Amino acid sequence: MSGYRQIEHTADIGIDVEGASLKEFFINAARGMSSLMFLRCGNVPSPCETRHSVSIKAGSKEELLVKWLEEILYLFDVGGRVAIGFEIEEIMEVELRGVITACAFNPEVHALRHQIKAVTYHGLAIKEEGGRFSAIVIFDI
Amino acid sequence: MDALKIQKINDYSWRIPRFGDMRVDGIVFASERIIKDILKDQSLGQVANVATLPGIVRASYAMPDIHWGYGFCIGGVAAFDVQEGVVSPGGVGYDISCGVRLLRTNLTKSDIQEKITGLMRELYCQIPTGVGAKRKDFQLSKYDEKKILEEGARWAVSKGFGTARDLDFIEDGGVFNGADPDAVSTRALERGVNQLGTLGSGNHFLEVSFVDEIYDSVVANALGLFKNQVTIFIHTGSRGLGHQICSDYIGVMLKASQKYGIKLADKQLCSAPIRSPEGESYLSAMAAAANYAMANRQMITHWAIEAFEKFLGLGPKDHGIEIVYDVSHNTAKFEDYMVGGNIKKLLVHRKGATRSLPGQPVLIPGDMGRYSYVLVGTEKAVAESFGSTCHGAGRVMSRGAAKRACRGRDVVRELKDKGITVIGASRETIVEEVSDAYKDVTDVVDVCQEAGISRKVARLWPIGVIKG
Repeated sequence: MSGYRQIEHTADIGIDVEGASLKEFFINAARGMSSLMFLRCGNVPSPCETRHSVSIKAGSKEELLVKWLEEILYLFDVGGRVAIGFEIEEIMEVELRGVITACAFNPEVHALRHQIKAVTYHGLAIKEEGGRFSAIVIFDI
Repeated sequence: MDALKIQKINDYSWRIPRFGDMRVDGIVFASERIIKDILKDQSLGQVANVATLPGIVRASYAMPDIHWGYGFCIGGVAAFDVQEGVVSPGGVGYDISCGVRLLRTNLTKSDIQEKITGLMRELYCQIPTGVGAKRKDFQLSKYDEKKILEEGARWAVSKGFGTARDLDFIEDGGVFNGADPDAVSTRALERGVNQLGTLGSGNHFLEVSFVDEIYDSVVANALGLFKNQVTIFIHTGSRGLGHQICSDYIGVMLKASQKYGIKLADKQLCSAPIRSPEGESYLSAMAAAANYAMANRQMITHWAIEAFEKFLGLGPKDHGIEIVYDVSHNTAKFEDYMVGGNIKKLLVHRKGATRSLPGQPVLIPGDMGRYSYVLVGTEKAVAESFGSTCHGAGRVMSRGAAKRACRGRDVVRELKDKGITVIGASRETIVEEVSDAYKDVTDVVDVCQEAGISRKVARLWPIGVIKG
């Protein structure tokens, strides 16, 4: 598994995510969500890459994950930017600092697959087993 | 949910008897055929979960287009005592005040049939549908965005997008009372400021259709509908602003649920007492989002009319485009109902359900390849479903399953062969929205008719659809 895979839902869409560490899990979740939103279909270099610092505190690991993924929606809805790279500089149970690299949406390079409205808490429970983290995340579209 | 059982009440309604933490029964409006589909997913479990919330009155209801959602199922209705009950963002949905507007015209199918492709292209140009699509001639200021959150469709009319008459044909007169822009986060405002007047994606659409069947000629006449008449359906909601408000308040309500000791069968049922700071704050933000949604549909209506005028070369007296009605599916409203012999004010959550008051038009879109319906509300709905009925067809197939079912098929060509021209921003979305993925809305509407919670007036058939 590439760290995530798309899963079926009657009305919406989701991903089954895993990672060998909490950091890797959060990065894979972001990559998975981005893959549901965008398809890269051209070889034109990404124009005007920008780096966006993210600093989040939450009440639970699940809320932290939701807020982290919501940054991808925010970048797209507000700035028309496609999140293409994800770094976690520091992550603790309910806090993280990271950077999202984004580029301007370019119809020659990107196809919009799904316009995700929200990251839901539906069935969201981050499991840890043998040091590996996993969860199913459902998105409202 | 192993203890969940269903009992048939009659041919069109079923009971989930109370068990466990349920405070009331669940009641599902469905036929034998539809209940078999419903049993395939978790929606009945969600109906039972809603019944555990404090202050719920009479029953946790579900309409025949029910399918599983977040906390509440889609197609769920639940009313709460204002003093003892709770409000839950999950009972309204992420797309606050997603709704449908129907426009009538003076035109008949034969007036536009040969020109439909050009007309749909013009509509697609005029109404922002794709990613980042915006009208160059419209820029919303932050000041005006806040005014819209308070004034709804009234703001749009005051700026020349429509007429004062329009407001009489929108639920609540086009303005949801109690809105407070200060209850809306900066992030929600940022997401909304560039999206007013846009259709959105997924199951949102603008559809040009014609009236192909009249069931109640008296009501149809009163609504200005006649056979072969061209009509326009618009389905959209509060866009990123509403979605963000819901997300923001789910965070608030998760904490509030702990604070007020509300036991949650599902995190997405997180809630707060209606008469609490958190509850009142959510309701005022929800009202703001509802106003945004009604203004959104008002803007799109204005540009749709411009598209008709430009492409067909007709003026208002010729095309006669007017609003029949505008309804919302995802809201929580304070309404009065008879409970235990007394009139009580309740907070009625409708998530993927339409208000169905006596004499009120009820607009039920089907999928893009099949019919839609105009119905009218009934006294029986007031008595038996807190004035509620279905909202649409309801999905039966995941998007992945829809894509697999369409492998090797040209869905756009199939629709064209049926006389329906589809233009969409995303081919993937068009495939995912194929008719196979939805219940037949006729089955849904017939259950509501037989159950007496709404009554058929007319059927509409699509000839053109634009999708984001």
